[in-house]
This record gives sequence, structure tokens and C-alpha cells, in this order.
Amino acid sequence: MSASDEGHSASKLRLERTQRGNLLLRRRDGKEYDDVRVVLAWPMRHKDRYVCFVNEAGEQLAMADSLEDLDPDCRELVATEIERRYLVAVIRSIISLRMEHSISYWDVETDHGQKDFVIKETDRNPERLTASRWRIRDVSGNQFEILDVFALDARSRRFLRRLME
Amino acid sequence: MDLLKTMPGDVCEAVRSRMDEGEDVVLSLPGDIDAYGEFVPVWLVASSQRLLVVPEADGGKRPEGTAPWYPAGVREFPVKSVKSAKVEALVGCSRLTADLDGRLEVLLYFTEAHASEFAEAGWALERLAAEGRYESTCPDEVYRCKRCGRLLPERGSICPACVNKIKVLRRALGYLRPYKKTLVAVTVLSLLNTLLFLIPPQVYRMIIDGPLSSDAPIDERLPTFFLLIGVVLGVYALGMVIQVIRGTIRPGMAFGAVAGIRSELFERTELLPLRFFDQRQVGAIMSRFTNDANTLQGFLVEGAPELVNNLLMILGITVILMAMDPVLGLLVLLPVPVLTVGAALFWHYIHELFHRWMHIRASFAAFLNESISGIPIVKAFTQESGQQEKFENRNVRLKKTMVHVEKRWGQVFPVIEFFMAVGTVIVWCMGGYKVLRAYPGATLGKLVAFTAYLASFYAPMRWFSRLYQWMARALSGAERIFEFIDSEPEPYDSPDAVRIEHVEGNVVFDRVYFGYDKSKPVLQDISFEAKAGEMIGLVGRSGAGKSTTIKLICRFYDADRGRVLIDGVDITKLSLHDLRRQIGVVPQEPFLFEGTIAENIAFGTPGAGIEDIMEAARAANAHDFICMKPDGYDTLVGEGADQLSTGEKQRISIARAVLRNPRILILDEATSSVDSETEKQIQEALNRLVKNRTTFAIAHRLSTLRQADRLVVLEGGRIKEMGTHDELLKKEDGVFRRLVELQTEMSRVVEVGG
Repeated sequence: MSASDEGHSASKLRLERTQRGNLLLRRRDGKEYDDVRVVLAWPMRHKDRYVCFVNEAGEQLAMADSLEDLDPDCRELVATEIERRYLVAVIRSIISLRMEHSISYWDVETDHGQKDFVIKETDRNPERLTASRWRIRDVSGNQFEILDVFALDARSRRFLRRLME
Repeated sequence: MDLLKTMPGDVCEAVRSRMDEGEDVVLSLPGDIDAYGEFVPVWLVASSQRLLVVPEADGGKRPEGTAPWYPAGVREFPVKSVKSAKVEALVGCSRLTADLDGRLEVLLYFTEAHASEFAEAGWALERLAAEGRYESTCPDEVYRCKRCGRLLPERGSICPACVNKIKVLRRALGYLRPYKKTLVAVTVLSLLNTLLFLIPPQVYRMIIDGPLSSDAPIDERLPTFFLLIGVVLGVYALGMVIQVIRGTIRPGMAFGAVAGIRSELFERTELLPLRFFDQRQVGAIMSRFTNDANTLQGFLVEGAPELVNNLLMILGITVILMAMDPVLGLLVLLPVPVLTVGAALFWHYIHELFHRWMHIRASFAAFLNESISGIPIVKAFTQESGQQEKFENRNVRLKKTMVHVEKRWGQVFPVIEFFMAVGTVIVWCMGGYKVLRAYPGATLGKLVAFTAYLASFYAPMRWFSRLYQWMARALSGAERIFEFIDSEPEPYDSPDAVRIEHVEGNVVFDRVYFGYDKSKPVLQDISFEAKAGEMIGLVGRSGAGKSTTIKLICRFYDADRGRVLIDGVDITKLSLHDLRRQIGVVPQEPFLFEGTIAENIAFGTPGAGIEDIMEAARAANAHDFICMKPDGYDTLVGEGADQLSTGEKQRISIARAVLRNPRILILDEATSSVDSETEKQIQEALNRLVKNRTTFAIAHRLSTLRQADRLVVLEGGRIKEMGTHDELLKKEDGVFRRLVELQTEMSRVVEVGG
């Protein structure tokens, strides 16, 4: 039983929410799968491309190359699922940032509200996805992002400069 | 785990208003993401009757037009309707989803920090629905410092901000204790040295104001002159002798203390649980032994022993200067407060930089370790230049930080020097003026003596400014070392542990749940029994939980729920030492230590005789090939002496397990990385080995498990099937049968193909 749906056009992929509350996937070959999860192959780079549909065991049932390939109603459902699965709060300003012993204590304002967290600095944390876009992972595994460090207010940038010194 | 947190007033009210008289809240736990995905607390509350999800009141600044992730506001469900409640791990957050009489309901979202708590809460809800009560046995996860409330860098770790700095330094000094006598001797010698060097300036004064400026005839002046010169020479000679003695005995003390720290560090590191090593890179751990321990050296060699001495020197000279000329004396002291305050401010800043530098150095070491061990891969994929680039990045970072540190020192040090020079200038100015004006008591000799003392006064001052540097380095190093030493070791010698001399080998798993991360269970509801002498085969795809099961038998980790029993005793109550003495492990990747083959076989059984070693090697089918080696059993193996094949190494590692004669034998894919012929030889050896022992075997080739008394088939951390090889084969649609079919198919492909 091959789990992949390769070779089929994704336009006929359908995702629905069942009465029970699960997600139901209907593949192009007509096969239906209950209790489906929506995951991204490249969550850091593409939020709307390479969307994978997997079962409870993590086996891939189908992939849509782009959200555009799905029917509009279905697209919305998938987009919501993605939004809920990948919570990466975008930092808008830094209220305070204290460093002690390669551990930094952050208090930030994000698009999801105010949040404090701790990170252990390593070579790749904060990770510079590009020169201006940073990804930060806190000690419990939550993720935060700064979309453009140069666009932050002066005070926030001063905090970051001290961190990078 | 404490699942009953104190609710704020408004939540409490909302809950009360929905509950009956006499209904008790038995579970209340805050999540930190609300229905709109905002970081606002939402409470999960349960009583024996109902389940509530209550958001904390908030200004109501909801983004217009956004649909909530689940109905906002207070929600209520009958607790009895909970069929199951599980945490689903998402990315950056998790959610608790409950099956309420067949309908799935997302109860709430929370960030990863709360995942463990809600995993436990989910389990508690299931119990609550089924039995009307629950009892949480999971230990609490501490993620905030109890003293200062700061979030901790690791769950349950020590808060780095609450480390008492003086205590840390005192503790580092404690390692000098075995050298108390030397320390006293060094201090006394230093003191003598100091006192000695207070003499020359006074003698110079006597020379200048006496023979040099006296009106007496030259013949009368010369003897006094030479006598005084002789005194100065004598003082310097004596000083040399004292310093030579001090220099001879001091290094032994300081390096001895550092060696003491290193040996305690190693001892503690070996006792730390495996969990500790899961999270760290080898190179970074090594860095604590080499780099961090060395930073303490400067402090212990030159810092601490000289502290008292330099303090006394400053005091002594101050007294002398004040006695000689109170006004000038006060002027000399002018720069002191400036220096002290400046250095204290600087100290905090530089301490931070040092910590960062050490951290970067550790990650540098880790990278080096990784890339040198991985050199065959680097070469095979011709990525030398890529690695060079990565190396350069780290190299530059290391350089940058060090440059930063040294630059700051380079900038601050001249300023310190300047302030000291200003003191001298003031003395020359005021003193010279007095001499010129021929003030009473102001002589040239006194001025010269005064400036000479000044030099010996600023020397310890300069030393104190360096002390900050030593202390900064030492403190950072000591903190990192003590972090290891203070980490909770495995409970090897718990006083109330049950001692067992002899293990029969009955192993029982009783509803065991386990996850490396508590919110992501790896083993679920595992129950099986292995009677003494039985062989149990563990089967399943990779990631099914086979190796984890074995790790629980060795008690490398403790079960989150349920029990592992050995001879009817809970494994956590057994003496760890006794338990592991009865277990022999043949790992998937044979690991040989630096040393001879004989030493490697006898690794777990120090003091084993030559005969025993040979017998074990024969049993492991290793004797023959060992004899063919030029040095036989004394052939050197280990890292760098890589002349053994994987099959040979594997057989040595089997011999190691045989020699120990364990009651419980663990074979973790012992034949996975060898060819068929070698496998046959190893299999023969294993067949001899498993007799009369309880054996747990994980095997890649399922046919090798044919003789097992029972097979446990795992899938997704749960037991799917259990039975003998033949029983399971007969099972239509069985997991095991499918695996065997797949493998037969595969071997046919291999036969045809090659």
C-alpha cells in the first residue's frame, strides 16, 4: 500500500471536518482517510507550499505543492490548520532583555501578545535565517521570530546589539 | 505533580458560579494561549462533576473579524463524558484534545513549557471520568526559580542568577584545604618578603640624609655609607632566598588544587544520569575539564594566596606614609577610591564577557570534536572547504569575543596606570616644593623614601585590579564546574535501597509509561513478564520503543508511570549497583576502550584471571582470531589503533558480557552490522550465552529470534502482539507476520540482485 499520492493532480484533494471533529481527506484516487493532520515540509520558508497530509502514525497520504491548488473552502480549512499547528510568535518590540551567563531572559511584545521566555545562546540560537530575519528558540521549544531586526524600534535594537556583542 | 494551582479571583468566581454546593475543584491548571492565539492565560478546571475551560478576564482587545480557534468564553462539559484526553504536540505550542463521548473537542492551547503538565492533566481527566478520582505520582517539573522567579535554563536546573558569588569563590578556595600547611607557609613567606622590602627606602633615606649630605670628613662618612649599602644588598639577597622557596612550594599547591577539582568533576560526571548527557555535546563537556578548570588556576596560584599579603602591604605602607608626612600621605590615597569604584563597575561587565567567551569556547571545542570524528565523511563527500568555512565562522566568533575582552582590558588598564602615576606626580610636586622651600623636616631623603614607598604601595593596588580579572575568570569557570558537580547524580547509593546479592532474573513490566519528554510518550501501557531464564525477543520498526524498553531495564531512565519489577521488587527500590552488576549488555555499536583486548574483555570484571578471559573469549567465538593477532590478548585496540573489524569488535564486546556472567542479558541488535558468515559465528556465541539467563534480544533479522520463548511486538510505543515465533506467524494480518514477509521478500530481492 503506497501512501503517496504522487502523479495525481492535487486539485481534487479534499479536506473536510467530520461530525466527530476530525479532518477527513479524500484523495484523487477516491480513497478516504479519517483523522488526518496537516503539516508543512518547509515551515520556516514556505507557509503555503508543500502542504502534507499525514495520518496518526505520521505516514504521508498526500501532498499539495501549493495551497493555490486546493478548492477555496478547503484552502481556508487547511490554512487554519497550519496557523494552529505552527505557532511562531513574531516579536514586535523588546520590552526587556537581560543576559546572564549565556542565558538571556526576554520580555517581548509579539503579534500574539506579551510573553517572557528564556533562551540558551548557542551558535544557532538566535538563528539568522537572513541578515535581518531571526528565529529564536526558547528553552522549552517555543519559537519566536523577528521579521526585520532593522525595522525594530531603537530600544529593541539596542538590546539586540548588546546581545550580539 | 501538582495539578491544583491557585486560580486568580475572576477565574475562581466563574468556576464557583457554575459549581454546586460542596463540589470541590480537584484540578486547576493554567494554559497560556487563549482562543484567539494570544498569550493570555486560560484555565482548565475539573471537579468530580464537570470540566471547565475558563479564560482569564482580559481587556477584550480582540482582533476584529478573526475567528477564534475554539469557542471563546467559559465552556463546560460533564467530566464523565471524557473518554480520553491527549496532548497533541504542535510546533511552538501544543493542544489538549479530549474525546467527549465520541466527539473530539480541543480543550485549550498552551506553549511547550506547559506540555508536561497538561499531559499529566489529560491522564488525570481520564482517571477522573473513569474512577472519580486521580492521584498524580509524576514529580513536579520546576521551570521557574523558587527564589527569584526567573525562568530556568533547564527544567529543574540551578538558577544561574541565584548562585552566591562569594560562596562560589569560597568553595573554589576550599580545594586548597589539603594544602593548608603549604598555604600558611606561602603566606608567611610572602609576609616576610613584604616586610623586608619596607626596609630599603628607609635605608636610602638614611644614605641621602646621612653620609651623602653630611658635613663630616669623607673618611668618617664612608664606613657608614658602605655599611648601609651592605644592609640594602643583604635585604635583597634575603628577599631572593624567600622568593625562591615560595616559588618552589607554591605550584604544587595550586596545581594540586586544580587537579582536585578535576578529579571531583570526573567522578561526578560519571555518576550523572544518561538524561544529562542526552542534552549536551561531548566537546562541550570536555571543555569544562580543560578550559574551565584552568581558569581557576590563575586565581588559586596567584590570586588567593597573595590576597592577605597584599592587603597587609597596602595597610602597612599607608601607616608608614601617614607617619612620615600626614598631608602627603592623604594625597597619595586620593586615587584609591576612584580606582576601587571604577574597577567594581568594570568587574560586573567583564564577568559577563568572560562567561560568554567560555561558552563560545565550549561550542568551539564541540565543533572541533565533531568535525575531527567525522573526517572520513568530510573527505568522502569532499566537504573540506565547507567545513573550513564553518570552522572559520566559529574561529572568528571566538577571536571576536576574546578581542573584545582584551580590548576592554587594554583600554581600562592604562587609565588605572594613569591614576597611579598622578599620585606619584602629586608627591613629587608637593614634596619637591617643600624641599625647595626648605620646610622644617622636609628633606631630600624623605622625599626619595616616600616615592619609593609609593611604588610598593601602587604595586598591590595594581595587583588588586588584576585580582578582579582573576576573580572574573575564576568565578565564571567555577560556576560552570559547580553546575556539573551540583547536578543530581543517579541514586547509586540510596540508603533505603534494597540490596540483592543474587538476582533470579524475573523481569516484569507493569503498565509502564515513559517518554524522554513527558509530553511525548515513547512507551505506553507496556506490560509483559519474563521468567528467569527465558528469552524475550523485542520486535518492531525503528522508533517503536525497543531500545527504550531495554534502557528501562538497565534503569538508565525511570518509568513515568507503572513499574518495572525485578524478582518482584520495584526497580527503583533496588540498589542501582547491585542491579547493573547482574546485567550484561551487548550494544549495537561495539565500543572498545583504549587498551589491550584482554583489558577490554575484563572491563566489567576487574581482576579476572587469564583462564577466565580466554574462556569468555572462546564462548564468544573470539579466541581464534585473537590468537592470530601479533600480540594475542595483549594487542592494543581502541581509538587510533583501529585494526579490528566490526565483527571482531562485536565478539570482544560479547566476551565482555560473558565474563561478567550476568543473570540478565541484553542484546541490542548485536549482529546488525556484520556479514552473514560473521553473523553465524556471533549467533553461535550468543546461543551459548543465552542459556540459563533471562535474555532480552532486539534483532534486525527476525529469523534469529526463532528460539525466543516469547516475542513482544511493539508498534508506536504500545504492545501489538505477544507470543512465540510460530504463534505469531500463524496470525493472519499480524504485524509480526507482515514484518517477516517483508524481510523474506527483501532477502529474495537481494539474492536475485546480487
